[in-house]
Amino acid sequence: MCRCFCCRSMNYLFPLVVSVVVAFLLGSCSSSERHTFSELPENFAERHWVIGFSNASESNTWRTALRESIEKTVAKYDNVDLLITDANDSPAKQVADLEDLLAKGVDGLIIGAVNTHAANSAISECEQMGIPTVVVDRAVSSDKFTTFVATDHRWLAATGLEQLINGIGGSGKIAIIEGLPGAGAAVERNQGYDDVLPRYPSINAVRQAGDWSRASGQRVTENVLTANPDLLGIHFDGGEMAVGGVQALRASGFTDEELRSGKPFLTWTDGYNGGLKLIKAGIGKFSVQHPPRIHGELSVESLIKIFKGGRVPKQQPIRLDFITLENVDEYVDMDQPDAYWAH
Amino acid sequence: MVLQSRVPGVIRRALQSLGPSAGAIVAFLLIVLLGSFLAPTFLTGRNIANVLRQSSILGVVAVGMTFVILTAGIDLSVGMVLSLTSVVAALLFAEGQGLPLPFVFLGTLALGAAIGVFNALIIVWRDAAPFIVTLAMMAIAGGAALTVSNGRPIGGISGSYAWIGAGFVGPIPVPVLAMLGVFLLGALVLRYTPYGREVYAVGGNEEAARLSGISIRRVKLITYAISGFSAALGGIIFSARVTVGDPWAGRGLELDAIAAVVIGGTSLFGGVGTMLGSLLGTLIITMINNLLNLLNVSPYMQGLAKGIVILVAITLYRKDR
Repeated sequence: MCRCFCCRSMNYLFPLVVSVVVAFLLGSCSSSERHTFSELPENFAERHWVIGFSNASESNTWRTALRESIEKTVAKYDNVDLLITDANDSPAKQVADLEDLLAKGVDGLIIGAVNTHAANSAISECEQMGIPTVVVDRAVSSDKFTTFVATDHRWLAATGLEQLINGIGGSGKIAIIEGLPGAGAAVERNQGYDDVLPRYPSINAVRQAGDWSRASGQRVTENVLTANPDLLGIHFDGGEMAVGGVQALRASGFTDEELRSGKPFLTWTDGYNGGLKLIKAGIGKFSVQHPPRIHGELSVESLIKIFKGGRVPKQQPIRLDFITLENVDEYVDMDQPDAYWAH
Repeated sequence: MVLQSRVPGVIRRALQSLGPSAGAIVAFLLIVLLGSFLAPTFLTGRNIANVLRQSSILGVVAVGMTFVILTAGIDLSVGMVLSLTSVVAALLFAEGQGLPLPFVFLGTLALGAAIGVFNALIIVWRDAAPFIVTLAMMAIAGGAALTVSNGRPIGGISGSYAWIGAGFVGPIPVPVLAMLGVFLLGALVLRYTPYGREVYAVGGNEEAARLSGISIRRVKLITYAISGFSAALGGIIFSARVTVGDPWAGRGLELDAIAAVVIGGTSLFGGVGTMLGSLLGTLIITMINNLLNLLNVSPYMQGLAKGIVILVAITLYRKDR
């Protein structure tokens, strides 16, 4: 170590300067005041409200679009603030996030659950404290939440797969590229595939996980194609993986002409814009989507309605859209990047 | 590291003459044998090309990691540096108003190297453990990747940029060529340059190296810069291959890179190991993933199978050196 005065003083100054800068940055980010929840219904416009949103992760763009739609909807109300946490797909982080949000003081919670159990204790606590909770997209095992803005993932997946099976005429070898193993929505959707397959005994399905990412979808499709050159169709558990899969198909010699003629027949789930562009091009045949923006808007509006003294139903299923070449123009936006999500 | 003494003498001596990577060579051959036996498509030309292409990103990162681990260090930031640089390269390309491609790449590679230099400065200046310094950098680079990309993949990669990911030179895919080139360069630097010999000296015994006049600081500075540089190269190859820069591109990749280097016979205590071993380690990890797909093993069981194969590969080495 250098022992000159300058370096020695830096030993103390550097950590000091860094901590001051960090403290300043953090301080400037968290300016919201503390609130105590009042049992009495008040006039909505008369006070300030805070909504907490615990997002399971931002590891795929669907969840990013959900977060953005929640931000956008909250921004419509001048007297409502939003606190956002990101659990990074970790149940432990989500438990801590929810504890932090409750400690900070929120008037309502929106929970995008990591799994079926992580949020349960926070949901119970909210019920005791009289704080309304909106569970969005993924189901939780507790029934103490106020409302569930729900996607029926099991049915969503089953619908997509049945379209593929019908598309290839009901028999032959297919591949299913599944989502992230163990993630709540993937588990539910895999059950959907389990529901469908026994009904078609002449379908032989190869099932591998593409982790909902473009890179994994590409890699796994390459491998599955190599092992099974006789595939009649592929169903992707997400448009992002489908885009990777089509790259793999093209790289292994399939022309766009062949793909358009349904060799192999391609279907997937969700309204990822990159995937919709492929449906527009005739390469993908079908997608079923659960739009993230509707989830975000309905979650926030449900809380606002409760703040105003109203009631919301316990279950609020989200509409599913079936997208084919005929109606893709209602959903796709050719000017937007792949990572954009359809309404 | 030498092989288990239970192996008959002749074979053992033959393997020992292969040096510290003997275990990796045996494990590699075993997996190739097993793979060709279990999956008829495993040894087809197309699948070999797939495995090589799929290993290219991990491979270039493993080259940098080999240097770091040879100095008895560790670099946990490489995965997130790869994420960050993939996003930065895509942004420079898509929104750089026609910035020439070489500048996009040079800027990205310089960013990677600069992050490595910063890691090394903290490690050398505070005499801090590389584990914790690079762990902090992993969080910083990961956060920066999400911040600059606003959490979403950055698209718009096309033309000669995309060619790097999907093109061929003769029969060889470009990313494979890049990986093999980087491995060769790494091996030559380790073997034939003074710096390469100093890496082994610092990792073998830092105090002895210092007393013999080697500048430990300089060696570490260059080493971590190489690691950051190779992670950035991985980021470029990733974004070219997938045609997006993805803030999640390198998630968990640092652990695969460390596993590849250690399977390749490089000691986590430094001073022992070869570049050839890391290449084989990279191929072993990629082949395991590839085989599990080919054999249609349940996704839930794949982690289990991968871990067991890695453990078996590690037990081919004896615990003392």
